This record gives sequence, C-alpha cells and structure tokens, in this order.
Amino acid sequence: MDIVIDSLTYTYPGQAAPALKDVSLEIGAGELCCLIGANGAGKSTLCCAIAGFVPHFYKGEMYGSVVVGGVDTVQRSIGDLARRVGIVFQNPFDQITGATLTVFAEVAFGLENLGTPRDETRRRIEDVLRKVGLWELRDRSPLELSGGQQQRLAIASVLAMDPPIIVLDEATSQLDPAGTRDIWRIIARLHAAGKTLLVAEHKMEYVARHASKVVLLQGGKVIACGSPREVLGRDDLARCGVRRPPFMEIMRGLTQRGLWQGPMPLTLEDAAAVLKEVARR
Amino acid sequence: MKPLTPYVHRNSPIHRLNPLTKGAFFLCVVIVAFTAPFLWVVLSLLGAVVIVAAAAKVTRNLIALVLKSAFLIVVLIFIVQGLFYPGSKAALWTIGPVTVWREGLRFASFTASRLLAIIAATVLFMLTTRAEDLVSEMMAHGLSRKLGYVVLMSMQIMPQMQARAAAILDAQRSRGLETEGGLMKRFRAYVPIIGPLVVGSIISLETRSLAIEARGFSSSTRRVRVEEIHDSRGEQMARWAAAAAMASFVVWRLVSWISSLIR
Amino acid sequence: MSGGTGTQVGIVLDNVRYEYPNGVVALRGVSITMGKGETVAIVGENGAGKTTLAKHLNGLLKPTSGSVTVDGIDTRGRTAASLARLVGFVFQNPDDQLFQNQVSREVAFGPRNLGYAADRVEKLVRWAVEQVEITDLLARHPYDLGLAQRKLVAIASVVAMDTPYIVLDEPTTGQDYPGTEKLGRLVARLGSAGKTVMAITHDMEFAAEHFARIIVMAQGQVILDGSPREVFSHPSGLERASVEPPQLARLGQLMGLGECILNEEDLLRSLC
Ligand SMILES: Nc1ncnc2c1ncn2[C@@H]1O[C@H](COP(=O)(O)OP(=O)(O)OP(=O)(O)O)[C@@H](O)[C@H]1O
Ligand SMILES: Nc1ncnc2c1ncn2[C@@H]1O[C@H](COP(=O)(O)OP(=O)(O)OP(=O)(O)O)[C@@H](O)[C@H]1O
Ligand SMILES: [Mg+2]
Ligand SMILES: [Mg+2]
Repeated sequence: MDIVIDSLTYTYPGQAAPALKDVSLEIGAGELCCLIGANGAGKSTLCCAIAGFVPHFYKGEMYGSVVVGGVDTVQRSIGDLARRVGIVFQNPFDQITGATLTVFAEVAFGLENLGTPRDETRRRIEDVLRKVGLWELRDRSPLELSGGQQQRLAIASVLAMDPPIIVLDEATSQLDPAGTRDIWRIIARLHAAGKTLLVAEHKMEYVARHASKVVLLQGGKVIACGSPREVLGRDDLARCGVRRPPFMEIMRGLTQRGLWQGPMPLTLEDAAAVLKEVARR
Repeated sequence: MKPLTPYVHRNSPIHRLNPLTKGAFFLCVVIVAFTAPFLWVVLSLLGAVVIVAAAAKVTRNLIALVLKSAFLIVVLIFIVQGLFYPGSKAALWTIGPVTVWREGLRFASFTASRLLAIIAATVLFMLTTRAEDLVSEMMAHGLSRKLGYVVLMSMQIMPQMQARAAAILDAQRSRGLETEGGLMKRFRAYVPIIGPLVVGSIISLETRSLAIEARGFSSSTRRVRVEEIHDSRGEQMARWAAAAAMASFVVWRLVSWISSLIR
Repeated sequence: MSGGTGTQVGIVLDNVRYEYPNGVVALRGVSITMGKGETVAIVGENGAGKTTLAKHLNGLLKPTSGSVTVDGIDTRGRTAASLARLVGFVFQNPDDQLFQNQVSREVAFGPRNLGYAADRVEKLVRWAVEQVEITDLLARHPYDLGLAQRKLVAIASVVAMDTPYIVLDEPTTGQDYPGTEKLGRLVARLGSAGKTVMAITHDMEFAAEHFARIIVMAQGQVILDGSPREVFSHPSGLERASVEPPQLARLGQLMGLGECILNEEDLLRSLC
C-alpha cells in the first residue's frame, strides 16, 4: 500500500504557526522511508497525519490531503484506518490501552478488535512477544514494566496486528543498544517482506544502513527527499539539527582530502573496509 | 504504579462466572439494599457478599477496599445523624452541649449498612471481574461499540485518576512538596495539584482513548476474545430469574410506597 | 528519624536490594559510591534496574535491604520531599512531572516548595533555563511542546532547585543532536559548579563524551564501573548488558585496531 500526501498544511488548535507547511510526499508501496529532522520539525505530526490522528483526534486546521492505499484519511475513522496503518507512538506510555491487565492481553487487544481467530491470535502474540523479548513477562501488568519494556510492548502490539503500513515514531528511543539493533533487524525484515514503513528516527547509523528513502524535515517543511546517500551527504545537515553518523564524517574528511573517491559507505562494516584500504595505501 | 483496576486474579468459581451473571447479581444487591425496609435484610445482604467474597478468595482485599472507601463517610453519617437527626426525642447520652439521639443512631446504622452493602457489592464485582471481559460480553449481547467504549472508559476514570495522581505526587514530592505526614499537611499538599490533576487526567484519558482507537476498537468487525468467556444455560436462566425477581421486588416496593402515600 | 552526621560527603549505596510489591526483584545487591562533583553515566539493558536505582537516591523508593546515604543521611528515615533539598530527580517520562500551564511556573514550582524568597526563585528560574538553554520557551504551555522539549523543561524545573546532586533519568531520549549537545554542556557546567550529576542513558556516544565515569548494569547488578575507556574495553561485559560501545569504538574493532577508539584523534593516532 502506498501513501500519497498532497500539499498538506496543518495547524494544531490554538497555535499561530502551522506544524506542517505544504508537505507533498509520495511513499511507494514497499518503501522503507525514514523521517529525520530536529525536534519540533514536524516528524510526529506527519506520522499522526498518516494514521488519521491529524485531524480526527487533534482537530485543528488541515488543508491538502493524505491518501493511504487509495483511501483519503479524512473520510475514514481512526478505528477503520487501524486496519491499514499501524502506528507506534513516540511516548510508549501513551500507547498502553489501560483496558488490559497483562502484557499478553495487551497485545491481544488489537487482534481481538480485528476479529482474528483465536489460534491465530495466540500464535501471533507468542511470535511477536518472543521477537521483542517480552515473552517471559507475558503475565506481568503492562504498568509494571520499565520504560524500555513498555516501548517493546508498544511495538509488539502494533506488529501483531500485521497492518500493510507501519509507522514507527522514534520507536527505539528508550531501547538499549541491543534492543535497537533487534528492532531495526525486524524493520529490515518487514521491508524485505514488502511492508510499507515510515520511520521517524534520530539514530542516523540505522537510517544510513536500512532506509530506501530519507525525508528531511525542518520547520514543518520537506527540505530534502531522496536516497540515504543523497540526504545524509548534504552540507546543510547540521543546520537542520541532524548529526551525520561519525563514521560518515570521517569518510567525508577523507574524500575532501582526496584520499577516497568511491561512493560514501553507508554501514560501519563498509567504512571499516574502506579505512583499512586507505590506511594500507 | 498500581494497576488501573482493583481486579485480583484468583482461581475461583466466582471468577469463572460470566461477567453478566455477576453484573446481574450485583445490580440485585444494589436495588435491594437501596430499597429494603428492614435492617436485617440489608445485613444479610452484607453477609452474603462476604460469603461470596470468601468463595472468591478475596475477603481480605474486599475488607481493605471497603474500609478505605467507606470509613470516612460512615463516620460522618453517624456523627451527623446521631447528633442532628430531625425530630429526635430519645436522648442516649448528653455530654455538655452535645446530645446523642437514639433515633439518630438507629437511622445512621440503617443508612450506613445500606451504603456498606452497596459499596461491598461494587467492590466485590470489581475484584472478581475484568472490565474488559464485562464490556466484551455486553458487546457480544448487542451493546454497540460506541457504548461499549463509553462503559470501558468510564470504568477506568477512577483508577486512571488514582494512577495519574500517584505519578504526579511522586514527581512533586521529588520537587520538595511534602505529602507525607499529618492530615493538614497532606491536605495542603493536595490543594495546588487538584486542578492540574483533573486536567492531566482528562488529557491522559484522551490519550488512552486514542490508544484504544488506534487498535481498531471501533472498527466494524465483530470482536473475538482470545480467551473464551464461559456462559452456560444455567447462568442464563439465573440471570433471567434475577431480572424477574428484581422486577417483582421493585413493583412490590412501589406498590407499598404508593399505598402508604394514599393512606 | 536518623540524623546525619554530615561529615560524609557523597552518595553511598551499600548492598542495596529492592523488591517491588509484585515480587520482582529489581536490585540485587548494588553498592556504589559517588563523590562530590562526579559525573556518572548509568547504562545497561532495559529492565536492568536503572530507574529503580535512581529512585532510591532521592528516597522515592527505600531499599528492601541494604542502605542508601546522602551526605551521611540515611534515606530510610526521610521523606522524598525533605531529600529534595539535596537530590534533584528528573523522571523518565516528562508527562509524569509537568503539570503547570506555563513553563516559567513549572520551573518555579520546585524552588518555591523549598521555601525560597520570591526574588531568589526568580533568579533560580532564570539561571536554570539558561543552563538548559530553553530561555525561549519560558512563556509556552508545556503541553504544546514536543516530547523532547517537554523533557528539557522537566530538566530545567529540577535544575532550578539548585541541589548538590542531580539525577537525570534518560535525558537524551528523543533529543536531536543540538539537544543532546545542550545536555552535554549542562552536565559539564553542573559538574564544574561542583554538583554531582548522575544520568541514565542508552546513548553511548553521549555517555563517552560527557561523563568521567560509566556504570554498567544488568539484571539488578553493577557489572562494570570505570572511565569510559575502561568500560568500553570490556566487550563481554557490555554484551551481557545489551550495550554496545560507541560507533567509533566499533569501527576500531572492525578494523582490528587494538586500542579503544573514542574519538577521531584516537583513530588517526592508531592508524598512523
Ligand atoms: N499537541 C500539540 N499542540 C500544539 N502544538 C503541538 C502539539 N504537538 C506538537 N506541536 C508543535 O508542532 C510542531 C511539530 O512538532 P512535532 O512533535 O511534530 O515535531 P517532531 O519532529 O516530532 O519533534 P521531536 O523530535 O521532538 O519528536 C512543534 O512546533 C511542536 O511544538
Ligand atoms: N512499578 C513496577 N512494579 C513492578 N515491577 C517493576 C515496576 N517498574 C519496573 N519494574 C520491573 O523492575 C525491573 C527494573 O525496572 P527499571 O524500571 O528499574 O529498569 P530500567 O533499567 O530503568 O529499564 P529501562 O532502560 O527500560 O528504563 C524490570 O524488570 C521491570 O520490569
Ligand atoms: Mg516527534
Ligand atoms: Mg528506566
């Protein structure tokens, strides 16, 4: 399923300036699109627009359109959109329904709403809880988890519903480094399986490694949209509040000094290989 | 943070009952306790609730919660009614200017027992029934998603406020707000945070509703619970019987009330 | 009430064990000593017990066994509110903490509770928002801000209490690079003002760049404790705690360089 955003301008209620300004964007089916930009750039607002929270939940003033898999979000309720778009909120605590008493039931909640058959529900819950490392804690109350565990639960409950479009709003922000790596591995696998993914992320190392497309936002506007190499190679990146991964900074230094002419490596492994070669010379 | 509902999981026949059956009997207790003309009826209801609680293995939780929620108001009832019951004639004791009236005390114990029976039944119901199960069952029996949603959210308001208050209080204690100590001190600590607490709870309730919506709660498909909720012919019949009994009880009370008016 | 002698400066955790009411044992014998002016980063896997540990420092939680003393004062005899004069604590979730309808009022709440005079409160507020570099937000409503900015407001509102110890639970969560740098500068400033700063973080670059000491936790225990260079030279310990070294250190490992690389200079030195 694809996402087509056409000249979207949105202002939160009571705010003078719009949070998104004339955003036009096409995210093709099967794309892994990363949203990057400084705090307040509008990443979360854009994520919310795709899930229909903007304007259904936040109200406010919206111009332009967001079409998800051929359906205009304004025409559908959030509940109906939930079949197409799964979203992991920026603050995991906000995602816990409070309607359930165990981690297991919390993941089940969404599947139950979709009318998934019982055996299938059980199978999916076990699968997804094992993937995020919460299977041992399945009988625990969702409120008796650490911050990172709550974030894993939020991710699990969205993944379990298996929607064609998955939006992750800084879903690894409270995870330990190994957890971040694991979730990104899952994201990459979903990408390979043909899901459409939109991921807001500050951890550029993973953006460089996995994104098929990167969108750079600043002050509610799309500044750049293209391959990770293009966007992360921009000179104005720091001015947009984004830090290039340190290894890329080193590679740029080499290129500027004429020590390396090849393409910019996007992973640590490639960078190490290049550096070793340069050092040998 | 405490869980959002007082539900306590136990392996008991009461827990296994269908939520609607428990709901029906809970309503019976409330109606009877509210309208029963004799103290002994109300007291036996209270006894019945305790016995059922014992069968559900939650007696201790029940007593703790009932005491916590009813203590202050029961004391108030006794003070107000004992001292100021209108038209009292029989003085029990007189200490200086204060007189305790016999009629007042009798009325107070009746009112307090009604209240205790109703609170105990409510607490017992909540201790043994998950809100989610109740709402699921109501929706399976034709309650609309919208209403189901309202019921689910309203069952969460109080516990939500509590959880939110606990979090806010912890944060403000960390910023030097003294919340431990005497009643006066605690009272003064709570005053500045009441407003924010209410606003904060409304915001967090809105966020919860968003979380629930985003999981497709109001989507048009029929919900399928992963854990089947048992219901039997027997339970269904018991519910009908309870409804019929209640209807006749209410009619009887109405008739005797109207006839007492006419006379 | 256990009165402190006041002679012993610093925070001392002695064999602290903590069990939550639901039976989860979150700390299993943690002993740490933190001196005045130290900057300490705590890292480790999700659920390691970092937040639980932090809540012990200002008396929000009391050890099930073992003891926590701040400047010689045992926390067990004290309320969290009375310890707030000594230890400032910023919550992992800013939404638990913020409740005023204006940033300036939010930041003033703590110092006002401590009973400071109006002009001192005003000075502290100004100073705090300057330290955290959010002067431009003073007139805003906290709920209109994004999560990362709300976090900065929460931090300023604790910094304003001017306590000798400051505990930050995941300050870097959701911060962009300028925000993380702001926090780095904040840590440095507070540290050079003689305050002890302890921050929990999952950002290893942040920990390595801005803290003199790193404590690694896993499963309710401290498994490594030392300078960034020492700690990041222990791959097996780090792995046990689901932590990986900063990017450049990993780059160094991939290149087969022996020493622990923490910055570009290290890299250039070991290459030449
Ligand atoms: N609920 C709200 N009400 C009013 N204004 C808001 C609200 N949420 C966000 N904003 C404002 O809208 C703008 C965009 O915010 P948004 O949260 O989308 O940014 P972001 O890129 O996700 O930032 P971050 O990296 O901090 O998550 C900001 O100026 C923010 O202050
Ligand atoms: N309120 C609570 N009640 C019961 N158990 C809890 C509670 N909060 C946390 N726990 C459990 O205690 C352990 C330690 O939790 P803690 O929050 O201290 O972890 P943490 O190191 O801060 O993790 P994170 O990096 O995810 O924030 C975890 O196993 C967690 O599940
Ligand atoms: Mg955001
Ligand atoms: Mg934590």
